[in-house]
Amino acid sequence: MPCIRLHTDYCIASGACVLEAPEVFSLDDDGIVAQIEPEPASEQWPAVQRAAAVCPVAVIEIGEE
Amino acid sequence: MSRVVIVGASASGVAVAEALARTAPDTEVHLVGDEAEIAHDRPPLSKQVLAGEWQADRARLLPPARLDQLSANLHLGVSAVSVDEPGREVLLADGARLAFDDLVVATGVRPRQLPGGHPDGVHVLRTLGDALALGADLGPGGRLLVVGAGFLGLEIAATARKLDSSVVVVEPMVSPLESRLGAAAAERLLTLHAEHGVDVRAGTSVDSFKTGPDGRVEGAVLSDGSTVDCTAAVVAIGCVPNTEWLANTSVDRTDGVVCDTFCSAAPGIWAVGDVARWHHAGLGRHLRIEHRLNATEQAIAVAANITGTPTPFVPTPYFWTDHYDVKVQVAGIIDAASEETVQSVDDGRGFLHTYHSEGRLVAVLGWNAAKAMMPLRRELKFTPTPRPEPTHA
Repeated sequence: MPCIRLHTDYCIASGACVLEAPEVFSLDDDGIVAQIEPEPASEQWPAVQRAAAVCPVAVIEIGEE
Repeated sequence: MSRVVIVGASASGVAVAEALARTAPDTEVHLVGDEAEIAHDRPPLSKQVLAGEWQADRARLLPPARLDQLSANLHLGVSAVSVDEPGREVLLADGARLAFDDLVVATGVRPRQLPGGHPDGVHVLRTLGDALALGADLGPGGRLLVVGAGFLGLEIAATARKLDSSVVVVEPMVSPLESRLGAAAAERLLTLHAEHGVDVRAGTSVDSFKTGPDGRVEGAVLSDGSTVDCTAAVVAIGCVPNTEWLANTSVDRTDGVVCDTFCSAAPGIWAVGDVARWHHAGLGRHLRIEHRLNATEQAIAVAANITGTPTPFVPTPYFWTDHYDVKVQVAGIIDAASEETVQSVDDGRGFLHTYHSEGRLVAVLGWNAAKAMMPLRRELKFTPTPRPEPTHA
């Protein structure tokens, strides 16, 4: 299964990932990305891929476990 | 195998190459850039890089691992000089010719200059080299003159204050930023700068620079007859699209590369990022957006349109701008006629502004309110209907 790694020190709170994958990502009180679904289901991965692609600062890294 | 030539190796061009590598790995991709390396990401250049807080490496668009995954043929340090449209070739400055099935124009914009020229010590800010040169002129005892109270000029002003330079900002408009942020947020942002010691001279412009015996800038004469002394200046008065190299093509170059709703400018010719003026089917008019998120979103859309069924590009425009400890974010388009309402959030530490036109939400602005904006941003999404027929693709 793929896994998600968040480089949150780069996050600029664009919220682009939340618009793409609201069931997986949210913003915390400081506007920094947080993963709210620890194990996305297979049908959620296309949205996770789109979220990773659209992030303007490449915070979301998708790797293999 | 389809052959795509991307001209411009900054945010949008690189994002097209990455999207093609991800979604259509069989495509032969050529990426042409006139800088010696892939450009650095621009938002940090007026902030962390200018302040010296980040080494330049941290602002790289592509860390080495992602560059490896790109599998594009790189043509760096060379500019494209013209296009043979019927022959489907791009001509490079070194004489090379690159054949293409699809051409992506990602040549961006360059800073507009003041008429009369810029003497030594007068900067612009677009590239990493620009940021390092300007940064070297900032610091205690420095007096910076900023020409233009737009987002870039004011971000530079904030960074200069952080580095203990004094700052004067000269801006021809009487109410700077109002057309972009609405009256309340614009006023709050200008007040924030005043509280940090920035002297904004709204309603004035630079008539001429004064130089010392060594030819270096020492000040400026303003339109109201006053003078400002400075040790350096930066001109941030907007940008000009880089389209001259397309002069002998059928492409309409009226303030950018004019495109249809699919970001296509002519058969097999596409445009992305700062240079693209495309027809936004949701808003019913052409837009050219010089903001960072648009570069990525438009690049992904164009890569998909090249390789699959063309789909109209109908994003909700979004940008952010950082000043001191304040992050301002805007989604949608604020227009002068829209009705603005303001509420405080997070116990008064942030503000949420909403803008309505004919009863409909058209934009939302967050002032240190990224999280509170999110539900409203979802309401601003466009749905691309009815689906128009491609005019070029």
